[in-house]
Amino acid sequence: MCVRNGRYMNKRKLVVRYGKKITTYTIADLKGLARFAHIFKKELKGGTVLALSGELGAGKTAFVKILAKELGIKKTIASPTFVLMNIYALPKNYHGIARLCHIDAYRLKSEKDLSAFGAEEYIGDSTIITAIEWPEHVQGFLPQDAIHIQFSILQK
Amino acid sequence: MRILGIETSCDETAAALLCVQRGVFTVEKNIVSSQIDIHRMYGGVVPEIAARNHITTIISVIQEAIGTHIPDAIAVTAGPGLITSLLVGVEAGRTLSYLWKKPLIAVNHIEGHIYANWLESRRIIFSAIVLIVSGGHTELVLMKNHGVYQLLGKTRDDAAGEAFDKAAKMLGLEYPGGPAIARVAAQCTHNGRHEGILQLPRPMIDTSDFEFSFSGLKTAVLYLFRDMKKNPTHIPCIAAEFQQAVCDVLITKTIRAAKKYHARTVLLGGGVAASAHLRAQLEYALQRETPRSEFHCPHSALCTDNAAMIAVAVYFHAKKKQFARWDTLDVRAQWEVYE
Repeated sequence: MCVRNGRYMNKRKLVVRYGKKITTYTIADLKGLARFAHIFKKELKGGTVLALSGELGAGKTAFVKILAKELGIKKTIASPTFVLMNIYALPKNYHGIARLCHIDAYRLKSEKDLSAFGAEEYIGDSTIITAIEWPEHVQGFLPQDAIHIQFSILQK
Repeated sequence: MRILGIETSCDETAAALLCVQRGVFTVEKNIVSSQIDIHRMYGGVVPEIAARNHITTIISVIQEAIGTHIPDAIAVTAGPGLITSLLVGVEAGRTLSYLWKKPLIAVNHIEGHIYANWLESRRIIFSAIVLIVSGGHTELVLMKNHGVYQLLGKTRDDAAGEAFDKAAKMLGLEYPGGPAIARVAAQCTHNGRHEGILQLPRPMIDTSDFEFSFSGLKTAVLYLFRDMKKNPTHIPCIAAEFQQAVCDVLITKTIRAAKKYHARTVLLGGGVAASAHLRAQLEYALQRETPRSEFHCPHSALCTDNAAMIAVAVYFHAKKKQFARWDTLDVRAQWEVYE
């Protein structure tokens, strides 16, 4: 267990599904999540779509924050729940990735809502990686080759 | 002069008619077509529905606001917000500006929340510390003069209003979360004293910067409620402690900023500023800690999104002749007030 801001953090289980390949990781704390992100970023290329599932507080936004840091983004990655979508430019291209698109589908009802704010112009673009939280809400829109990560909190 | 304000950045389709005479503001009409009933069904704002509803209601809302008057200037929120929602208001403003041949002025939504304070208090002395707390923003701003803003700090993850909405959802309460949590918290019989029984963290309360973080607090609610086996009898006390934790952090940082920058005035704005709990506690703490700075807070109806605040902000832009062109004005979904 790790203490952050005076609170305890429970372990997290991450199930990464990429096509038929399924890998499971157990993450002890934010440092562990950072180590995972460091290795995981090697899988990324332009056009990758990450589908991040898990309940409120499971660590989806925390993961995007850490991944953005790994990609060299200096700007604060704030929760996109309210604004729905944030676009961040990478200071230096990484594997052909120029921008990170962070979408939160928490408040969306169906994939139709994605086009209501022009998200389809970004998702799958060959120079952008897209991280979608609450992908269940926009299931029909996810590409076949999306990388799914399921976050869950392990009981003490 | 009369100013028409139009605001469609998120939930509300709003239009207001503001009359300005010798620097005195009179809100003649302030129409807000609340869409909250539609959103409640989904536990949040649904953009497609929000955008659609703006289209169907905007004309009648503007007509209701202006009556038979033709305003002398048009103020419209150009950002930040949901792009599809913003577009409806901006297009309406552009069209009216062209038809009436009246000046058009673009307003930042956050600036509107700040200027809501001027609707009621005319003599606001600079410099001012402004705490903006809403569903999408939690920011501390130093305002040295009209239109001069400096960002001191903002949230690193969730906004305070968002934390209220999500904590409410975890506890099985309705949307919007702020009023729901306040209502349930009032049933807590521990008088807000939970030390040792159930305590939530005050994230970043001791850091010397003016940044906020509410994501961990939200997760702490999740753990706490789970460890209590989701027993509904604990909900009032968790709600009370959560509300107190958010207020403690906001108040501590605001006071620290007021002291550091020797603020003459402290202003509050944004939807969460409608919380009676936050207003009362902040006012009390300021009286005790910084008695020389004055505290202003808009009436709670003017804290939540409305168009009167957009019209007031425009008055100060119009004095500086900062006009937008109807043919080139564009939506800026991620517009920061400090740019």
